[in-house]
Amino acid sequence: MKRPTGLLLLGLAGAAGPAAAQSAALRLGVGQVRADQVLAAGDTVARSGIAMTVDGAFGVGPATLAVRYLEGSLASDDAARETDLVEGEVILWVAPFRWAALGAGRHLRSYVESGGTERWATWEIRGRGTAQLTTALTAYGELWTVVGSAVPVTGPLETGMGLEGGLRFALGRFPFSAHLRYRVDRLAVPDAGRRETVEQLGIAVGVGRR
Amino acid sequence: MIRTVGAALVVALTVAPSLQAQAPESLIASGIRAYRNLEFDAAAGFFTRALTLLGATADTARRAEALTYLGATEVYRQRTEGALGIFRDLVRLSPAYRIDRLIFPPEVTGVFDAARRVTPAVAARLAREQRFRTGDGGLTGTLFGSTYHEVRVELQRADASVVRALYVGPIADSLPVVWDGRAADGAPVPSGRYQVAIASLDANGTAVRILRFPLDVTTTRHDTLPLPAPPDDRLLPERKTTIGGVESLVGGLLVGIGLSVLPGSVGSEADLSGGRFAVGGAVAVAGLIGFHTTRGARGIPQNVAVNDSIRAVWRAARDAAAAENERRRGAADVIVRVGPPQAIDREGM
Repeated sequence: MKRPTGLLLLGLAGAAGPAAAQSAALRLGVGQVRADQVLAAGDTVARSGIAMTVDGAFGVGPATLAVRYLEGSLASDDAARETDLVEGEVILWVAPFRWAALGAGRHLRSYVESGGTERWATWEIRGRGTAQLTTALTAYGELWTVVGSAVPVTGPLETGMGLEGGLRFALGRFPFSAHLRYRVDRLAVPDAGRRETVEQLGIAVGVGRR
Repeated sequence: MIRTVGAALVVALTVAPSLQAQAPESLIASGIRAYRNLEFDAAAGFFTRALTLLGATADTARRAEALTYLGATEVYRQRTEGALGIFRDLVRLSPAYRIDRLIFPPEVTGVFDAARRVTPAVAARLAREQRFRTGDGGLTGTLFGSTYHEVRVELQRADASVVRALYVGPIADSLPVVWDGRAADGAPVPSGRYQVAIASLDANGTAVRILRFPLDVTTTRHDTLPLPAPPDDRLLPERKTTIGGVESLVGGLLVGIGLSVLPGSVGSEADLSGGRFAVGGAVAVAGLIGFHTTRGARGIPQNVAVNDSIRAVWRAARDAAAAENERRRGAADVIVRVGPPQAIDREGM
């Protein structure tokens, strides 16, 4: 697996939810990633693999800065192609309510292959809802849409959206937490005949409170 | 003639009072000289006249000295009964008095001791004024007994009704007595006039002599503290006002269904795995569990903990104030002024 360099994420990441007065959290996760690409010629390439994630968040008052980094190695279903997937995002969240937050930020994605690196960069606006299910379980759902992009193919980005949701388990008196999450996003450039769908299913453990 | 009468009047007015004042001392001195010269009849005369003159005065020391020598004189005059009566008067006059055994021989001291044994009486020494706080000191005094006998010491109102019994029991040579300013129920006595009555009892428990000290008592009580108000207005809500775990149910179902359905609008169904159903289903089930477990108002443990600490502080303050008030209710500053004693023997009761 080729390891990309140059993307160093500082700090604080994660799916930042409603901010506390001052909080910080760091999480390490692992998960299954599946990426389906429809290429210009109409060919479809399906790749999947395991990815590691690091994310964290630092919040002051209602604002939270969230950073996420993912790195994984994907292989096509026929094992003919191997690709490294690297993602990073920085989102600034503001939580006007305990159960709702709005965010905006940058999302970068790179496919690293032997023939070169393909980079997708988008600006996104996100909305997030949180529900306390029990004293230990919290559910969250997140939706986003792309408002600006820099894509490696010719043509405007017609579709750019995604969602994430999951569960967070944490006992109030301990600073540790466990997470189950599902995420999918889609980017489509019809003029170039390109469509990207990336699906992630993972678990994570975290320390800190947010 | 007129000058002579005037001079005589002046001499009479200036000299006569001093002669009268010195007369008992001179008579006692003359009596002692006669006693030492074994002129007992003459000595008895001197002492009797001295006592007659001292009868109206409070000079206890002189009277005791005269009675002592008169009693000894009577012993030597073979008038033992008379000596016994004189010594009993001496004991009543000064119960703590003891005749000097270096001066008087055993036949005299023996009669005196016999008189003491049959004359129960008590003398007392109390400070003229004492200031104290109830529970911290009190009116202290010392009783001196003429002989071993039973006494009953009481605090009485001015009308002789009993406020509190201070001591009931035997007394030998001396006995300390303390009154802490409280009545029998433990409360400080109100300001007013009282008396300490010390009754000497005979073998039948009958008072044969009572010594009374009038007391002028001034009691000042302390104001109590107000109890702190309950901290109701400072308590945080301990339960959420959401009804029936709505947040759990709605939130869990919305997120769960959204995770299961919405990905289909993001990507083609053919591109998606079944992971969304697993996560969505888990969230929905967790929401149902949360709804079931948190139906009704949900507690807020953090607020409960904060409220518990607020209540604990309030309870501590309330208990401290209540304890202080209890102490103040049972305490007072007391000033006791003690008047001159008055002794009443059975014959005078």
